[in-house]
Amino acid sequence: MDIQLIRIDDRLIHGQVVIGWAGHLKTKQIILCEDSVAKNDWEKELYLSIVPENIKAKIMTTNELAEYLKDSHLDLKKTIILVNSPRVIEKLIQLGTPINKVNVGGIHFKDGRRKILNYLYLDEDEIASFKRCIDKGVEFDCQDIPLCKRTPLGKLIQ
Amino acid sequence: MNKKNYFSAIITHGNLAKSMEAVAKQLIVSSTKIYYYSNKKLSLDEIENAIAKERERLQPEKTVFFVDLIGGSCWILANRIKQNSQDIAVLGGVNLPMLVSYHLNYNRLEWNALLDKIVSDGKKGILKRL
Repeated sequence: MDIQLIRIDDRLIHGQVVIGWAGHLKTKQIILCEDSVAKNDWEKELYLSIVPENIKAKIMTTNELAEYLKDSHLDLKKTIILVNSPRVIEKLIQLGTPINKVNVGGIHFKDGRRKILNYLYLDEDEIASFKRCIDKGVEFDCQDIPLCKRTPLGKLIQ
Repeated sequence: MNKKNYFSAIITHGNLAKSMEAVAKQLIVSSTKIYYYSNKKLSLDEIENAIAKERERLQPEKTVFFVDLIGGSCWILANRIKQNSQDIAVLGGVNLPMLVSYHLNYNRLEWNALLDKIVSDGKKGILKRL
């Protein structure tokens, strides 16, 4: 499936995505995939309120997205899919979604996480989840904004 | 008049919040402490927890968040804390005139009038001369 960008970013929709990536890639649609947001009308409304008018936006649970992506007629060449953790990627793969390449845009510091890059802090469970995805053939490139250097994640978490 | 107990914080990208708070203090005598938080390193959950701890300690009657970019992660965070509370205000597009106005009017105006004054003074601080 030809998806413009699949991105892991614990801030989901925010300036780097809307101004940085969507502007750079001329994105027409953003799909936010996060169960807790999809099940909370207030949070959904908040995230949808910050998407520019020229970009469509959907918010889905992981199960809904996996089902949605089974439609082979979808045109997602101008769509960014946003998730906040490698575990969502892992679950999508388990649900049958073919995923080859993922942009790692940012997971920030909190207790238990260690620094990998300035914008990437991971705990051991997250590292293990990334490794399981890599073993299944997913390629992760770390790059917070379009003009920054792209760094393959695999070497950083060996 | 009772002393006001408002919690105020600047939440911005990078080191902007810290610098703005410092510069505002140099421009005018502070009426109250303004806390500052950066989204540079910390996850939004960590910032939310830090703010929750301060608010728990201070038990403010009102809270105002100054954030830099409407639609940015700081905006999302501040609104997540606010939810539907009428005692928490989120002001986007923070600039120095807004912070100066906050200090100048903190003890002079009541809550709603204070917020209106801050926004009005922030807008007045943006001017085009050709």
